[in-house]
Amino acid sequence: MKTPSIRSRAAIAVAAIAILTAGLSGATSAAAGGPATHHAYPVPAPYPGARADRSTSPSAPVTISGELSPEMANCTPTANGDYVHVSSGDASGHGWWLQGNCPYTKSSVTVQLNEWYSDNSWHNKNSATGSVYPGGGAGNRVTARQTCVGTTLAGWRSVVTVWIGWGNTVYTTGQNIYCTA
Amino acid sequence: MNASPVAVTGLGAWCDLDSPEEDSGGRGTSFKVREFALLSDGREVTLLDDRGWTTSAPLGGTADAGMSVTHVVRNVYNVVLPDNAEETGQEHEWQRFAQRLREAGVEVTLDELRALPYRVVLSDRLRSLLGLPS
Repeated sequence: MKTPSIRSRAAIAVAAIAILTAGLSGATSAAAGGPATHHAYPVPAPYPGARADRSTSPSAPVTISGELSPEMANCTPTANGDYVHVSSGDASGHGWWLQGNCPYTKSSVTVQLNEWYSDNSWHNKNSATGSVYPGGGAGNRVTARQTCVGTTLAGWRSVVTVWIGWGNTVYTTGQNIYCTA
Repeated sequence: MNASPVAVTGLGAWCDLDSPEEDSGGRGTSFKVREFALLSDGREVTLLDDRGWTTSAPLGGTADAGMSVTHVVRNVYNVVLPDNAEETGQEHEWQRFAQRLREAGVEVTLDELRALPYRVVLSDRLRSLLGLPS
């Protein structure tokens, strides 16, 4: 009974990756699954200050190679992201995960930076993915950075996705910082 | 008559909930963090106030799914880490702290800052939500 379940979940995971990858690759897409191309008219997008909405986030078990232990396949991690802030001329955001009921092992973590635009939507900026142990802290966090080309006030947030087990995604609270990119 | 020079007596991070309590039931929870220095004359100087984090975990709940005091305190330390902590091994923004304190009229060396006690202070509201006594 376990093997078909895991295979089925793996198929869902691949689909979830495809959905998320499509979302991340769009330079102007909204972060909550909106169209990936630029529109002259407003498109549906999360509002600044919106928190994690797991009902619209892709479920994200990934990195399935070889046998997946039931413990790893069925676990739910906690996704965490710090508020995007200015650091050495960049907008910077970190992502990390907490173990929850997952095993102590490395998981992929993706941090996608979003900047709020006057068309009332979040625009994707840089992203970063890394494989880290749970807990956060130096060496166990993934950092996404985007060079600030201007210093006027703009809204920023990050979307942090943890891929182990059932995965988890969180949208950090939007912050207005003196950085435009 | 010269007054004694003001000294820094301690450092810390203050943490409070930054999202409506009703949002902590499954839509993620946000926290704001402010680092501060306590001075010998009773003043408090804000050192860094643009940090915070959002977690997918709800407040309370079980050890697996909910958020513990340990979870919160650990994340406070995570979000105040310098961006280059991986390279420098530094746990706090010592240079920035010294600069802020200088602006407040307090001269202090980086070594003196590193030697000070550092504590995490949770707001009364947060302590209550985490089941801690006020």
